[in-house]
Amino acid sequence: MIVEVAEHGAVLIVSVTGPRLDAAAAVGFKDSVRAVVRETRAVRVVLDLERVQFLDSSGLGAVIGLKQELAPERRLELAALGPAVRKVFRLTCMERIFAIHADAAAALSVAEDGPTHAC
Amino acid sequence: MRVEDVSRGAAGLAGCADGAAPELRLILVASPLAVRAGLAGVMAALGGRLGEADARQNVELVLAEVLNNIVLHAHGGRADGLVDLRLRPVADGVLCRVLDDGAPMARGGVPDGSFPPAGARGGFGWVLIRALASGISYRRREGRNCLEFRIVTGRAVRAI
Repeated sequence: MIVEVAEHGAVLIVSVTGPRLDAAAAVGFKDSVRAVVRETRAVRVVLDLERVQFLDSSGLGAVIGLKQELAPERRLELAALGPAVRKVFRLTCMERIFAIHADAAAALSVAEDGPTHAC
Repeated sequence: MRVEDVSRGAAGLAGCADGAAPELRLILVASPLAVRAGLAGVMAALGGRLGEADARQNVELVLAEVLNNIVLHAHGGRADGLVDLRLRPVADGVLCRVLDDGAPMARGGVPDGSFPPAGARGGFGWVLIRALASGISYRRREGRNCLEFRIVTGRAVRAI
């Protein structure tokens, strides 16, 4: 799993490049994100899922696991959820535990403590 | 009702009686990459007939969850495990029958799809299956698991 990384001060944008965040990709995805987060001082890590077209419960579990691992020093947020990905977060009510931004640019434009999405 | 085993004598898994032939049948080895390839095959074969993108997503997601459960739980990573997937599109959904020769479901039945406790990283697969599929039935017969369900592609999807 390849992730692209861009650091903007206190915000680290991590973009998932593959179209599927599924059971076959979940472990590699977690390892990749852990590796890049270890090297950053950013306090907000924004996972840009714009290119992800399919996410299953394994992918969801990986995202939740990363959020838990990063806390409390860092916060994991999400950006650019397509309809199929959004559906999984909605049906499992996991929308409410993440700050969700329309896209990476929107994530960068908000204040450091800002918005959280209500499920 | 006529009862016959459509797979008898074929390369797949016998043991799940059925009176109607499937329109699409796939036999996969139980691995995450085979599941991914199998889903691609299903969507290539049926995707154009499932209507809106929303319906296609439901089919792909439910099948992914069911197949991943078999890889993870029934076969538990065993390299020679098989999964036999049979699908038949109907007016407002896809009838599915999935057989495997792995271990029986834990506690002898289908999870009720209740939400896992707060903080859980797993346990969401059956939440999704229950939200998007109906008529779920599970049988253990002749050492095989047989799971049947209908993936809903029409408006009857349960709202959460």
